[in-house]
Amino acid sequence: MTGPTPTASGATPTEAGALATDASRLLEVSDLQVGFDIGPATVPAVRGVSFTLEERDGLALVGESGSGKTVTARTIMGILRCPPGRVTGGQVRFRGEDLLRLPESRRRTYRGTRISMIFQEALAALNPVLPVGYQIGELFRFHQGSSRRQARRQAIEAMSLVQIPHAARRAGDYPHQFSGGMRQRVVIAMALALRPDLVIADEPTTALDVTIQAQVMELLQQLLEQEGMSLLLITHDLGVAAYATSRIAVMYAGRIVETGPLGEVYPAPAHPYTYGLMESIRGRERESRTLHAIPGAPPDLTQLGPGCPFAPRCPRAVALCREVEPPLDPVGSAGSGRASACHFAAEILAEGVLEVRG
Amino acid sequence: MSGPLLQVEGVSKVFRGNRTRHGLGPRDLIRAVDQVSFTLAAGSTLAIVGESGCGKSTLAKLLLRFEEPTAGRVRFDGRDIVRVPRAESRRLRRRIQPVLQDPYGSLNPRRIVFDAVSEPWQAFREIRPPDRRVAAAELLGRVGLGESLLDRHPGALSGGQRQRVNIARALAARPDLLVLDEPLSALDVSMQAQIVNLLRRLQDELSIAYVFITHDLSLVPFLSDQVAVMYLGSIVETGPVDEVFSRAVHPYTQALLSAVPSLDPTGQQRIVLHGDVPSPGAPPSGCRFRTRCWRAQPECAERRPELVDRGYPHPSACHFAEPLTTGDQRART
Repeated sequence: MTGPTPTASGATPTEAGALATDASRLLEVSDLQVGFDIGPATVPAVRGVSFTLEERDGLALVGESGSGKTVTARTIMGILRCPPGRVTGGQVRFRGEDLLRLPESRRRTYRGTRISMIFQEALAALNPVLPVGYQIGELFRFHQGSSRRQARRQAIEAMSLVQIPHAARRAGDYPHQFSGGMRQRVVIAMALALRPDLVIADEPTTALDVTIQAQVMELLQQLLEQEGMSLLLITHDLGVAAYATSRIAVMYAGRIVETGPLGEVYPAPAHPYTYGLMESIRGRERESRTLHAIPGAPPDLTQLGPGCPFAPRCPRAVALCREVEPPLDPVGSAGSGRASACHFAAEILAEGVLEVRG
Repeated sequence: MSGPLLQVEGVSKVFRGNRTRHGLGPRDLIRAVDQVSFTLAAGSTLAIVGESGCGKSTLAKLLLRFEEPTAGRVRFDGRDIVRVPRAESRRLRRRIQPVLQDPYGSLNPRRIVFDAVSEPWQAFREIRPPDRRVAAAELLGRVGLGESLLDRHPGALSGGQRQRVNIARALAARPDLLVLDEPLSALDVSMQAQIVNLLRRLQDELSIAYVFITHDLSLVPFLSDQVAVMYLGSIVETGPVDEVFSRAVHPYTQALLSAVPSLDPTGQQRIVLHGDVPSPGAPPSGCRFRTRCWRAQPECAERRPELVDRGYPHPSACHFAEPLTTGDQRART
């Protein structure tokens, strides 16, 4: 691993005292590190990620491709392909129990029943040669020992819950007979079927058209609330994040670089990357006709230097930034839960990022 | 030359159903593009927006002559692109170039960047081979890439870099029109902004016209002068971008605009459309949008609204066209 690893010092104030086992907390990820063994090298995909989720809570992990958000999600879910993936450090505590230390047989009892996942590609998440009702029913048969007849009834109930019209009739249809939006509803039905405590949604609406996207987000939102489930949303789309959760964690090059309540981060980001990301979207809502663009491209994770991985693209970077990777430290008013991994977080929060456009 | 660069006149494309897909047999006709007309002036941009299945990509293929229209005409520089003599057809092809969505699929993984960029010169017999290397380096510079990339394979490039190579290749033909089919959809947000700014700069420098096809409305104002909104094969509303975006009168446009996720959800009036887009093989009678429309009246099932002026500054295809009122959000079906 390169760079300092933010453990207790990198945690936000609310997380700082919680390194001891806390069984009342739904999910606590601390200093998670995941690498991919590719040839002789290990590519550090997740480099010390920490966050917590309470009951009936929501958090959006926002980042661009390669930022480590999906690897984090898959590690929590226990579906990271190993090899080449390898958890090299950290803990994932679910109600106090470290999931990473559990044998696969125990782990399996968590998947679906207590933690479930909604995938981006509904078509890839469903078996094309089995009717959807059968696939949903399998969950009840496997986890609850339902009979075929019971499972069918439960599957139809699950399909009605996600408002698929004529659920009883459509239970016998195959995935390809559904539209994209309906297929995503089937996937949501499966994720919610066993009433898990935590739903991880990985880009749940990215493959959908905007009007369908709005439908599906509204439905998901409403169901989570009604069933009292927590949501970990993985998305590249800040707009979707804003719609679904009140708290965000922005990832860059395998680390959380800024986290806090969306309502506070959005008007005044405390990290230049968040600032750039917000600007490149916020600019779209303005009259100005030039889009704010972050110059350059995300770093190659195999060649991370000692400094801040955002420094090469950062308008504020100084020599210090190229030498020392800043830890994720609290910023802003105490108790706000805000943290930023920038040497100049406090200044940026106070003054905004100085624009040095190249 | 006077008159518009591109004139699309009542263009339709009808496909025959294929039994293995969509459950439609060979007797079913699918009107992918239905009586579409628009004009585009040299050096300007028309955005065509709509959701999957609205016919926007089929329209792109018609402009590029990847498909031929079933009815209607596409005129470029006054000439029908389908009915021109062979020699001239080649020249026309050079002047209309595509930039497609998938920056991964549109470059041959086994050929280096130089091969991709110089391909049009080979095809159109331009620029002497010994001069091509310098010319290619210059083109890469224009799209913001270093000369050192010329000998790389696409596999070594990021998505943003690949899309720049695609743009460079299109520019190599010295086109007057670029047909950009979802050129930004496969890119990350920070890359999208870079490519939008690049396309704007290129248009200023080279005065190329763009047909910009996209499902993402948030980027349209930055790259376009005019916008046409398509639903199930037809244009439902069209006009200058600023006007359509600030005072849309067709309910579909209004829903589409309100569905764009915003960072500031409080200030947004959100209309959530219910139901799916009907199959283009079995469109509803009358107005095609009526099955999802909260303003639909019996009349909408009987008479199909034409795209005409309806007392607003720009044309729309709705019997009940009007700007959004606060009542609409509550009245949604």
